Amino acid sequence: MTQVKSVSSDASSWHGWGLLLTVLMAMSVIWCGLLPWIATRPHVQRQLTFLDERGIDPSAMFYTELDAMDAILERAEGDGDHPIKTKKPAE
Amino acid sequence: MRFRDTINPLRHLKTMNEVEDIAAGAKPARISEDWLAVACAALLLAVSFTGVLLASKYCYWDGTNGASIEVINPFKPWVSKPGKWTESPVDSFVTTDDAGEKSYGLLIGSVGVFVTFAVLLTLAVQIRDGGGLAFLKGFVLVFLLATLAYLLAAQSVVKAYNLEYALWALLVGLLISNTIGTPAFMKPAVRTEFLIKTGLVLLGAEVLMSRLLALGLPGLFVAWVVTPIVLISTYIFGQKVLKMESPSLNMVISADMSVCGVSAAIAAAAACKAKKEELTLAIGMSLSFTVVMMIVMPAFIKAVGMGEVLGGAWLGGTIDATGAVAAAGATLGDRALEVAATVKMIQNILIGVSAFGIATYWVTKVEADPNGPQPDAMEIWRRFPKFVIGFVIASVLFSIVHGTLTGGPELVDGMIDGSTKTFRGWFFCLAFVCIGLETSFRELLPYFKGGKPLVLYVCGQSLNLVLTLLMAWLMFEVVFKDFVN
Repeated sequence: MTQVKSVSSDASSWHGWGLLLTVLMAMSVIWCGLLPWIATRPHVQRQLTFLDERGIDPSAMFYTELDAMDAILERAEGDGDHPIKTKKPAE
Repeated sequence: MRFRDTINPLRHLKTMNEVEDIAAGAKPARISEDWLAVACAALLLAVSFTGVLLASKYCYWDGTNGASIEVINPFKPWVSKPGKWTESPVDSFVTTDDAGEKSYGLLIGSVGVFVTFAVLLTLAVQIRDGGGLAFLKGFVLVFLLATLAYLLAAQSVVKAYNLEYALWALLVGLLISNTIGTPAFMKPAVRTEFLIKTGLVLLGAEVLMSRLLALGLPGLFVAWVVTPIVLISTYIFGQKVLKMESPSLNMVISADMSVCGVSAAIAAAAACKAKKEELTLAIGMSLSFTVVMMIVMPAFIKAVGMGEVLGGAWLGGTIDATGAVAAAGATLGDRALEVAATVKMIQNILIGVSAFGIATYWVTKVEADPNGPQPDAMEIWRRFPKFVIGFVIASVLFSIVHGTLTGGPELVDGMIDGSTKTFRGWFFCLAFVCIGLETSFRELLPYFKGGKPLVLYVCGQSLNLVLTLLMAWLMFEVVFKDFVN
């Protein structure tokens, strides 16, 4: 029984390593080949530039990770010409 | 690691890590995991803020703008994460400027975080249970996996579709645990609960109450009236109508969907002691729906001719993830971006209140014995997750500094931008790698049974879409129309 278990465990271990290496190779192809190629497509490039110019990281988890918030907060907390200020203007 | 174990009789006495450690014959903990997380985060916050306070050059009176301050965070060059890359992953660590000069700042910063965490966390674990050295041996590989997750998330196309590092960290961990199995030497470094709680206390410093009125009353109504209504209604719907087997899964999905995606899910999961599989499922669903909503909603808003301000408020109140809200808002216009991002920021600030509310509800109602007497104040205190207290104190303290101190906003922002938000990101990334390392795909399958989580999310999000649109229209187009214009 011990021998059978050992052989089965070895096979399972090889299977695991094989699977891991296969997935890692697939990931390398996608991240180092496919995604950089997609990034060069004109419409994707336009979208990436559009986001960059506005300081937007669509994967930001919290508002502090958005560069775009700096300008928005500066206007909201700083001077009085905030375009969406809801304070009633002086009569 | 499990946040919760419904059948363990010791569940009210110790966290599962502590129970498992004792069962395995490890030394009993000298300090609870919650207090240790609070201490580690407090140390990082104190050192970061003191560094900024001492290094900054201030204050002078320039006669027109009042006091000014040049904020310097001395830790910034030593604290970073892999940066955005498009063609080669090497660009994530080595950047080249227009003159062709190479900079290794991102590499140095990532190594700086590793050294800081290795020292701090090894000491913390050593103080807690004497397992510092074993932790350090495993931590090296856990950190490398977290770096790989960041690298995968930093590809510009991946980033553009809101596929956050949390997703890749989970997948990297799952890949190891479900192929070759998590190596034994890594297991002492797999401390999900501790890492998440430390990250959450650091997040508390970013929850600045003083920014609540950034959009005035309309923003407050859209974010702070609709959101709790949707959260509570969805939870009740899940319990009473769908009869969800797990109240904590119901709560994590409800908070994730109604508040602000992954960050709210993490806070809710820790507050209601949800299982790691429940957090994984909630985050997976949220990210999937976010990708669809960030593309479909702006197209719908444009198609029906909705105004930028109303459209922005609607996006900000409904799309889960903060970055996706900004991306969707920007496609409508600068004004929509501004409103959408600000509404989402106000919702972000709701995390502190919701985490405190969920933790209190859990210890007083859900965990209470229905046939026994109501738990007294001491019992509630004993069961209460103490890291939530650290989270709330950090939020209140830095809100006061931000709102009252001369140069407070600049100093607090300097601390957050230069170091603590990066530390917080690494803590969450490491925690998600750990969740993946502890999870088998087989354990996830039962949660999809019957499709109840999906029905809960869809029904809750539908209610969210209707109520948010109604409130945003009422606030921005009717009640405060003149002021907004």
